Amino acid sequence: MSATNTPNFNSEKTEVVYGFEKTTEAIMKFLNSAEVSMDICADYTWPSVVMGVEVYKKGLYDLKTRNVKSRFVTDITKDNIEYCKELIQISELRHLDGIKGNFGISEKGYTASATLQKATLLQQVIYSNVKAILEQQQYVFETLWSKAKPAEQKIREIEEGIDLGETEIIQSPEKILDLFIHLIKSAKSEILLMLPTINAFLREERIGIIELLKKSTTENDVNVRIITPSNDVVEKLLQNIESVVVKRSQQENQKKEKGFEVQHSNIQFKETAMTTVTILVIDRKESLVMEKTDDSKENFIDAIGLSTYSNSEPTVMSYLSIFEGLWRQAKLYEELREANEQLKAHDKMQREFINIASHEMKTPTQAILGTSGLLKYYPQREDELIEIIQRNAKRLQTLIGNILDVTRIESQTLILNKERFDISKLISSVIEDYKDRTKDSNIELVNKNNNNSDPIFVEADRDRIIQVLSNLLSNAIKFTNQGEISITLNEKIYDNNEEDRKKEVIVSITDTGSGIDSEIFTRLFSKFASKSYQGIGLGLFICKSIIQAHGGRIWAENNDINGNKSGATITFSLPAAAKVDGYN
Amino acid sequence: MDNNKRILLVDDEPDLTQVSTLTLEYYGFKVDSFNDPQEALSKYKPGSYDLVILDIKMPKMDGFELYHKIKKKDNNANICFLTASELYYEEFRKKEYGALDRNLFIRKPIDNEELIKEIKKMIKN
Repeated sequence: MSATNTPNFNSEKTEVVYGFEKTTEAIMKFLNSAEVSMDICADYTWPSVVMGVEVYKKGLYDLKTRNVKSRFVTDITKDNIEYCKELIQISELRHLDGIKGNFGISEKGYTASATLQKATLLQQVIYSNVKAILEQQQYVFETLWSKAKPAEQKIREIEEGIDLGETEIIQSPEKILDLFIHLIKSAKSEILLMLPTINAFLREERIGIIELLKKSTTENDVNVRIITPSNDVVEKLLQNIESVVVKRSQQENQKKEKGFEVQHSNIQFKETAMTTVTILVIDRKESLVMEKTDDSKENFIDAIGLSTYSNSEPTVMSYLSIFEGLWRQAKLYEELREANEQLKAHDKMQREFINIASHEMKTPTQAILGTSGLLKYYPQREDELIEIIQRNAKRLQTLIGNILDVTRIESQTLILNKERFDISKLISSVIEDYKDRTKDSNIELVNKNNNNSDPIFVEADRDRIIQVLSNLLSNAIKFTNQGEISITLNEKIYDNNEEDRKKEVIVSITDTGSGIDSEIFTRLFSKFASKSYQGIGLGLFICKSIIQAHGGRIWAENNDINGNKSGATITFSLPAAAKVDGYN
Repeated sequence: MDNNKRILLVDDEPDLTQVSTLTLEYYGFKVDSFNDPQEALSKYKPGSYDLVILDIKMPKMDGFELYHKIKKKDNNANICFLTASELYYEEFRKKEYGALDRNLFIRKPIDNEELIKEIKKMIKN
């Protein structure tokens, strides 16, 4: 083999040609010399080289003009598809996955080039007209040609999004592990991982997979979803990760949905393939399905069996849909479990309610029954006994009223008979009534609104507002042994919009009693929240419901935030009545 | 016939202790009553009552606890419960005081004559 500057086509020889000019010259001579056939096999960069460099392009078109029968094999991809469409105009074109060799054979000669660079001239070319080489290379070409598929079919597959991709079975556990880690690291937008057993989770945690997933979320904004069976250990590991991820997304403030989600599936995949495989889907483009052989093994390498990697779209989509199906199933299961727990809690609350309610009803009933029976034995103490009967009958009446109110609230049939009235006047009269009841106690009732004689109008159900005030005052009295209970009344503008200035009326009742127990504080306004041995815990629930039905709010505060027992304040608001001529 | 029988009554509802006391006194019992279970316990004198009647649901100390504290002071004390709680009595009794005889419970509401009948039964036993 000798290197010369000018290829000689007359005698048998093999040459290597260097440099752009010489290689171009050699190639053109090769192309132009063909009179019968031209077979070219080249990698995926070749279409862009021959169609992108004007001289080569002309050489190929000339083949067609001279009626040379040409056949090209190349690797048609998304990137070179436009060049390939042009090539079809010149020659019969076929596609072969991942073809790497670059050579051409005509009836006259053979050229080969080791390296191709996109749309540039070739730097080095081998030329030969040795018959034996031509024949041998012709066999190689025919073999490849017969395995290649028509370009039209491949172009259609690419354009319609059908990318058959490749599917590969991997047997070496070490290779599987490498690929597993590589795939997770390569993820750009989404990682889906389904684990078959708790042991599988723990094995993968041990080799750092879970840590890698966390990194993908926190550093690359990859959405990670895991389906795994869980126990306390798994739960704890996941909590650590979730707290890190959640904390971070809070720092980056808001909006972005939590990038790390886990369904703690309690689904048992009994006697199905799902009990033995780990499924990994990356960016909806690649999948790795790993079988396990022995779940009792601690080590990933020892436990792993055959694995199948695929980037073929139908395969990856199948695993994706399996994952999504199980994800939904796990989610539904979780929701069902929660709903069931709520039902149980509700059931428990109902029974507790019946228990408390029956006790609360029986106690005054006992008093009435016993006392009325005594009337005939002690006629001289009639007044005293009748007072007991009345007191307990009233207690029963209040209780029944409360239970009916709760029923109305819960069945949403609480009807308000709204009217326009001066709430300042109403408060004064309620306070007078309660002053009478507390005159023998150590409690002083103070109306802090007394100095202000301006009327403050609301449009509300007068009886219901009296009910709320009475309830709040009774509570304050119940929890205050001595001291002061004061009521304040204010008007506030809460929407400072010139056009639409809305006023609200704020009423606060402040006592100097024992304050609100921290144990009860958060559920103060829910049903059955009671710290008293007398009472069923419905009062504040009813107050809240009445105030909310009026479009107002109600809230509670302890007067001392440090929890010292210096009393509590309950405040409620009501929308002020709209302006009417002559008022406000 | 019951002139010398002495009864201790503990119930946090003043109206109920008053009514029960008047009823029992009418039938000739001598009655001490307390609304505060702790006070009842601290003033308890062993051997001075033929029957102790306890409410169950009371603040500070429930009837079961009081039962055991009185028993500690006076093992021979004859104690029964007068209660309006249903679930409380059922579940709590089963769970923690399963050994207590079911017959020791008188259920409220009960009219005066029935109450006296029950009490006489308890004292005989």
